[in-house]
Amino acid sequence: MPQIDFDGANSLVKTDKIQGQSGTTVTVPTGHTVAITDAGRLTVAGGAVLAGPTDAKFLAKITSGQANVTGDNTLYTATGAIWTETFDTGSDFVNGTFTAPETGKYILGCLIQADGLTSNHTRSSLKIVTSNRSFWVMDRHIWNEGAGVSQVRFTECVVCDMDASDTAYITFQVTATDKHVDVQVDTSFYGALLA
Amino acid sequence: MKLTQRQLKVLNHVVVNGQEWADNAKKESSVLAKVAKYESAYDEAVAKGNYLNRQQRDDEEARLIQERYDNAPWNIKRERDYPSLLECVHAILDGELDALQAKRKIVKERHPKGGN
Repeated sequence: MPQIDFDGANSLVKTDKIQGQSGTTVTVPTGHTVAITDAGRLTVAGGAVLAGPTDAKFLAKITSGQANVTGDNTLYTATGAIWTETFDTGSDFVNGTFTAPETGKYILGCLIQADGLTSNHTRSSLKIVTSNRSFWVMDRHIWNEGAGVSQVRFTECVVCDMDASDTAYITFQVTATDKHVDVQVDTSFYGALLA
Repeated sequence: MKLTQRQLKVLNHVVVNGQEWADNAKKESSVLAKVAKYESAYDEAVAKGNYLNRQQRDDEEARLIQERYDNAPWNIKRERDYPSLLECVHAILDGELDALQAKRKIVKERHPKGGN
């Protein structure tokens, strides 16, 4: 089997040389690395480009609890200056809205920490709203499925297609009578470019 | 960005508000790329007849989902309205089964067997 020796002495391996090999595997010995210089990305068969360390990825949490945002069928859109970013590679997340910097497949998810639930709160829905489509990721009886406790947490996730400049945000809605449902501080929104 | 009527129609085929989306786009090239990407899908959808743009499709989907929710079978509606498991456990431990059954009876009468 042919091997390429990365000896740290400016070894140069030309594409045509690799293609000329009769074997099928290139092994990088322990202690050696392969540096990808094309914007930190790796292109694989079929043209798929694997996201690199500088590509879009974000994690943000609600800065402080948002009281009485829904419960009476109010559609709560979780946008505004209520978010604190844990990280935001590329600065694509602003006030609850993620804007795709480029066309690609993204993974988006959220964790909702809802509080103040009572037996008056029945149907609840959660959506991850992107420009190309809305993902109705949850539609359930929040009180009964929460076993009748006032605070519940749930996570949802989607993989979606986004075009450059498309946006994404989350909405949360609880019915039916009392606007006493809070969104608490563990509520998070996160995502990353997959490819 | 000022859109042509066709560009706006193509964008409205994909997003809820094409003009707003274009106004928020960071680059004009992104707008043009999105229009180019979805032009043929828009033309095909129009050619099929009974065309609905994205907003209209979303509205129709929401209407159908609400209709399914409202017209769910009686057993599903009872499940939604019955006391929660925690309430049942408390009623058992606190000796309040009669009150619990009264609540259940109200739900059963509200959603009679066989109805929707």
